[in-house]
Amino acid sequence: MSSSTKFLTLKTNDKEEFVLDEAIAIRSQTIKNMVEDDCVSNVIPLPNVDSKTMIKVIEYWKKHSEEGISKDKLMDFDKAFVKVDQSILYALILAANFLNDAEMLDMICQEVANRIKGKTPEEIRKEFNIENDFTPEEEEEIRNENVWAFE
Amino acid sequence: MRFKDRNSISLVCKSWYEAERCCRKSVFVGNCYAVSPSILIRRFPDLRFVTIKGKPHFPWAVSMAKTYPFLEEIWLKRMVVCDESLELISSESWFYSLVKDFWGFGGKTLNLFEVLVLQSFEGLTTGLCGVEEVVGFVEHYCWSSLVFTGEKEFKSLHLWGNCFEKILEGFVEHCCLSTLALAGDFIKLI
Repeated sequence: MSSSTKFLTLKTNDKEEFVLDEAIAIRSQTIKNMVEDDCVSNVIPLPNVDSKTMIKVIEYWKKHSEEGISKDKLMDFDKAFVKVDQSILYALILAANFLNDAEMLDMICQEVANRIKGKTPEEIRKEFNIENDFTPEEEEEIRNENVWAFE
Repeated sequence: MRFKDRNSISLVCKSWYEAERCCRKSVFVGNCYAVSPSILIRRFPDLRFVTIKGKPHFPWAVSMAKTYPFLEEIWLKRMVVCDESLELISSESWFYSLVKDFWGFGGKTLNLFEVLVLQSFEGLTTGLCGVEEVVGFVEHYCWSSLVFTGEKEFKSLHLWGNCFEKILEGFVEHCCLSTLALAGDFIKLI
């Protein structure tokens, strides 16, 4: 690393601090804006991200910032990266959204879409642990509308 | 994401139903008798592309023209087009296109529209106004492709026939067409 490398300190909402190369941290548009506006003299607080999620985010950023890494390798990395419990996936979506990293956000949302694809409503509820709050009548009405009109 | 997946999503729970309906951009109405335009509009407030199958009536287009300022395409299958319909479209600054045997209207930014395909439609009730408007639109907006095809049941071919030469002249003189394809009964007209 050259001597001109600048480091930023990111502080998550559970008071963990992460020291990160600025070149990597500015993959986050949110952080990049702060750097450009010159308001990062001390520690950058990330009130919407916890340390567990930040570790994953940094892992992603570092891998995607590696010089000369092949597309295939990155794809393999991404595939393995999203093979996590849905609660972690949700936390990553919220973090990617807050940090404003469109590439990461798209990648994770695609994974969520993949988990929905081809499933019945019942299977989706099971996959995402969602309670059905429709009355049987309401559900029937939507089901009919879908079948008769929007299919 | 396919319609089927979106429909499944709408049945998961109330919040998913809301999220899905508010972000659906494209809808295929398989049976226009089973649903009214008002139901469609109430459920999907932000549609951009609508395909309607059946024998639709123009009120579908009227309701949608008023509700969806950002609508880019409506495809109405086997629709009879009257002069009033054309007037409505032009007064709304809309362009129109016929794609396959759909009669479609769109509100896309006019100068982005490039391709016109006319195939197996039932024709215009009085014809001429429509033909001239087509030429007018093509002249104005520099479409790059134009495709005419016809079938035997095409009912008002003669109306087009009368001014077909005029249309072609108009295209050649005023348009920067890169493709002009003619097929079916239209070939006999030339």
